[in-house]
Amino acid sequence: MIMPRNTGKRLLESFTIIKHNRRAFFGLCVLVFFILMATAGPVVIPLDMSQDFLMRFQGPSWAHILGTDFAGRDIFQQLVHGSTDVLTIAFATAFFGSFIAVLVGLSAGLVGGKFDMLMMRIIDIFLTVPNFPIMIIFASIFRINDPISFALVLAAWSWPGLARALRAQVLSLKHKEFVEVSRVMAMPYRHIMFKEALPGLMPYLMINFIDMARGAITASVGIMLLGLVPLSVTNWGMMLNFATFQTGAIYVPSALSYLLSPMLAIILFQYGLICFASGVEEIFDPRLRS
Amino acid sequence: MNRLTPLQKKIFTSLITVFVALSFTFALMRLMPGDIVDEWARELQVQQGLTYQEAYKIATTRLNYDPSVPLPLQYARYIGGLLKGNLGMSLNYRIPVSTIILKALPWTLFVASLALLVSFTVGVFLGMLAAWKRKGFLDPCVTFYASLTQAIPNFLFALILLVVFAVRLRWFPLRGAYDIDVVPGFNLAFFLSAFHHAVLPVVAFTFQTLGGWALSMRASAMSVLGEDFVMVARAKGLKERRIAVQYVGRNAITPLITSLAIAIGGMLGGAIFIETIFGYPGVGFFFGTAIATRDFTLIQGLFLITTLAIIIANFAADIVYSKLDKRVKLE
Amino acid sequence: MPERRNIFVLLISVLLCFAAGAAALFLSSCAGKKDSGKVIFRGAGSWEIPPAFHGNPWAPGGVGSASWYVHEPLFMFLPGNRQFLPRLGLSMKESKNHKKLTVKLREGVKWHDGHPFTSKDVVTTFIIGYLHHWAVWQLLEGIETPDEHTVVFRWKKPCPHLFKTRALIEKIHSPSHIYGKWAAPIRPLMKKEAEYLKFRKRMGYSAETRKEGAAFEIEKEKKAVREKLYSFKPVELTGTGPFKLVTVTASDMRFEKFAEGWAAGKIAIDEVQMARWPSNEIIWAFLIAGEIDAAHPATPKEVAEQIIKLNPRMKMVTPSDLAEFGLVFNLGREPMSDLEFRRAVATAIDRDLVRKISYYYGTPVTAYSLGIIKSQRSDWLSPETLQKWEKYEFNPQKAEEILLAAGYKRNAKGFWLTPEGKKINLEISTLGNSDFVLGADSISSQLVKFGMDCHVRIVMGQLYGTKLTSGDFDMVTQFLGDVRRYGDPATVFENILGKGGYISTACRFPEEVKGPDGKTIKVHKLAKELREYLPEPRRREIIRTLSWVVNKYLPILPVYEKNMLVFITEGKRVSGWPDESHPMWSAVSTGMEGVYISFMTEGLLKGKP
Repeated sequence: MIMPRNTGKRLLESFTIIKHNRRAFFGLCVLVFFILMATAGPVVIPLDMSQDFLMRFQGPSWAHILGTDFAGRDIFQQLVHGSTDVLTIAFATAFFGSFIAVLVGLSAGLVGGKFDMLMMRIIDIFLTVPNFPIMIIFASIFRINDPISFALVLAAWSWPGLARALRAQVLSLKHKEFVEVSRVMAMPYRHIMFKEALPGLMPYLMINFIDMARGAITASVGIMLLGLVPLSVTNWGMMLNFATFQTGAIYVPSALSYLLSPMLAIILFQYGLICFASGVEEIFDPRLRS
Repeated sequence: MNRLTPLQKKIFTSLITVFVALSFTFALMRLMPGDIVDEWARELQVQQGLTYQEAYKIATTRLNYDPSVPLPLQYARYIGGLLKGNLGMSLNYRIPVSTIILKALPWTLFVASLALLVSFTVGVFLGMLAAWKRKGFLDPCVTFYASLTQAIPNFLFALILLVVFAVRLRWFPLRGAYDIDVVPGFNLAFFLSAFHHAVLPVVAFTFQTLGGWALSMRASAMSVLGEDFVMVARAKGLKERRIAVQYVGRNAITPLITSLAIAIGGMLGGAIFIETIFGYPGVGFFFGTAIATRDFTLIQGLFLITTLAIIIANFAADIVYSKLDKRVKLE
Repeated sequence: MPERRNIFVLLISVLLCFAAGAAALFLSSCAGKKDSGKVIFRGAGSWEIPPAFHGNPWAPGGVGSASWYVHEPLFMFLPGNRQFLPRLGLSMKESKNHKKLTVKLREGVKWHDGHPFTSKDVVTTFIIGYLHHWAVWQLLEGIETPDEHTVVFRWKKPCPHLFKTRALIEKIHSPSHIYGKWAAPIRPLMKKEAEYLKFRKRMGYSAETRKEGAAFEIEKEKKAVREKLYSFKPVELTGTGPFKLVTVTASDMRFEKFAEGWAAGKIAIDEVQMARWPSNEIIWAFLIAGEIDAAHPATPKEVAEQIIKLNPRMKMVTPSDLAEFGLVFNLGREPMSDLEFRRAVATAIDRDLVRKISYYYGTPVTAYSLGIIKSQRSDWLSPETLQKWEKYEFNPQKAEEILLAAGYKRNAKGFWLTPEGKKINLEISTLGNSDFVLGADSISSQLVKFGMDCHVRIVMGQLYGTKLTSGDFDMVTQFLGDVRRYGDPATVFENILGKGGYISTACRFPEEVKGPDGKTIKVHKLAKELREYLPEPRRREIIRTLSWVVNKYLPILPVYEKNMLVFITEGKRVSGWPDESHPMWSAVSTGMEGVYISFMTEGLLKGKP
């Protein structure tokens, strides 16, 4: 793919769009905050995982911004250190899942015929076959050692639904005028797919991307419970799991911070992404700009 | 093959998919690694103060599966039974699988379809509204609500509902599908009781999935909103409501139809935690025990239902889709 | 496609129906629940839901928790004072050579369907138990019924406490007038199997292959009889117990008092209602609401305090569950194979902290590592004996010294290296239960603090066994020292040190070790001997020796003794819960509902004052 000559100009233009959309700007700030947390955070903020029973379930204070957990450990430190893995896995899963879904969905819709039928059948098999036994088989054979393979495993279960929806979209787009014009002009499918069809699908695609990212955080807990990866206490989903089940934080007022902190982190993450996405929508679709 | 109508071709391929999915499930179940008898032996050992060997001997009597029968023969028997409409006998409970499904499935369908209906219609409506009034107050509200409810673990939310509405306020019962003093059957007391008991499970299910539908619809509507034909309709001076429903809504809902189909298929699995918390007599309980006891026939029977649900739902979605958008041929 | 408005109208009407129904029922339920004057006890249990539920206690899917209220054993055993409380049995006598146990049955007992209870029912139950490989049959030669109210158990060898207890606490739930017809074909099978086993013992293993398939044939026949038995699915539950099962749904069970029960005169409870146990978090909600009268969920400290605070009628007792939580080390893999390393690890962990964080109400085990649980230690080991044994109290300084003396050293970053220079990296494998996970996490973070890279990995139940046999682990969390039902360490030592014992094979414990005086201790032999009937001094000697072996060679490291957390509501529907010191509380490890029932049977638990 040839890089357009005016990339710099395009980027500046995009940034201005986002700056003018207040919500998108908020989203961008949130995103930057999380990226900083995931990259610089663990370097700047030390992690002290030593257990201290007397410091258990302390409320927010100057010493511990978000309070302490069931073992007297600082919650904010854990959130920061966990964010690296959590966000890597979330984004990687969403990226792989979306990528495969776009590839399969768009191509199946555009090419049609036997290829389409084959892809649809494969998708249906993925949707109907229970993933539980497959996960157990995985657990007995593989060891997942890095976030990327983790993400691939999670992505394997998230792409079929999106692929099917995208294909449905493409089928209707296929008969739209601009596509027919492109075909008459003998443009390659690749061009049609990425230049004409994809931009219109961006909002839907993005919301699914964000959904996959957030879903990955919850799903990673399941993978840990299966034993495919070692237990990570700083994983936000696992913190939530501990708070809900192992320590019964729902019933304990002093433990509320341990329950709410990872939840708020996830909520902020998702909400921030959605806000940012509304700005990205405007970049792709000039008709949405005010 | 070429003389079959597209509809017939579709039915045929759907059946093939069901067949392949069931075969996969059949194989996967038997390929599951690990020694389940060992797991039972360890539990027995602890419960009854036995040595491992003593416990293992007892545990072997629990496994009602004869691994000496060759796999192809098992498979042939299974498929043969299916074709005759016989789902087989539950290996663990020694009663027909169909009995279990017929007794338990209606409850799951009841709760899950109610929940799906409510969450889909309300969610789609809200999403549409949020996309339409893009610069207003509603859009951030809807998105925040969705983010909030999707981040709360579903178990936690159901528990909160239980504690607030059933334990503290006592507006709704704590558990069960109907009151224990009511006689199940075609009487008013039973129906009222069933609805009364269904409120909390349905609300628990709905509250969380609603956000997802709203977000999806909002995004889909937004991509349609920018289309030329919308501008044309506006220029033509058509009423806003008409544009919203007939032009934007109709087109925006199409990808959601496929998601709905998948959700219908996934209803059965998603209902498990609700049934556990609210003591609901649905298939969720049997999913759990079937896997834990390696009750292959029951698992296969349950997955047959799930598979059929997904395939039929997808099939219906494709038909609805082609009706909605007349340019799309049934392929 | 219909107008969106129509769908909305539909939706509104659905919601209105909901609201109407809910309101209607709310009003009706308010009106209906009058105080009937009956004394009701509310508990929680688990069972398989209809249509799987039935009344055959042998077939899968049947009975569940209802068994406690409906069926009774000959005697109830209290591990606390080793007393046998008469239930269906009134008294028992052992012959001098301990090969005969004569039990006199209670007279005038009736089954729920009116038939009289006789010794034949005991035999029927045990015979069908043979089909299910009841452990008691390993030693049981036969059962006789000289008359309707006497049962005689004949043993192959002198019977130790363990097997005697096994015979006496088994629930007698199969009346001969219902189950006799399935017991009938079993007797000839028993003879056949006994002959086959004699033959095999005589001829040795080579004969097995010649008579190939004989064992297999017998198993097949047993299975056939079992399957016939399992096809019997009565709706009614028949027992001799104080309560009759009246209704069962997926969420509730209702019992009524059995008016002709032998203890009916003393029992003040008219009705028992059981809720199906969904999960601990929900049980906490039920307890706070006063919805159930007794339950025993594993509960963290703050939640327990909240429950007591929010429900002023709630009390809490913590009797021992007669089991310990701890680690099992893999002696077959470095660095755990090095005794010095294990000693260091045992000294580097603050076990009390682990207890506080993962299971607050447990009793910490801080000094030793014995096969005997702490609460029963004084039964078998005197303080003077223990004083001389090695202690593993929390002392990171001492742990450091042990490691340095053994050739380990720290690298520049402070992490420990083996004498060969490899960085130490440990993994604790654990099942997914919350207290196990919390405990493993606590231990692992302490080891990290001490300077060893350590992480926790959850293992699924069905893959757990493979993991242990393959030897692919460093440490595993495990229940240890559980004497649960019998209060006798024989099974424990069999598991930890015996040949083929569950823990001994996992940790690859050697067959023989060096004793305190340098002489060899044949560990497998001693563990096996403990299962026989022994005169008391010899028994004590073996237990002392084996305890010493466990403490010295550290195949395991117990962390805390598990105490049951029992929440009881006093004065809402029932009252009269005895104090924690009452010996009946010691039987919680044999079955919690059994304890509630015995309170009712003894007339301790009554209605509201």
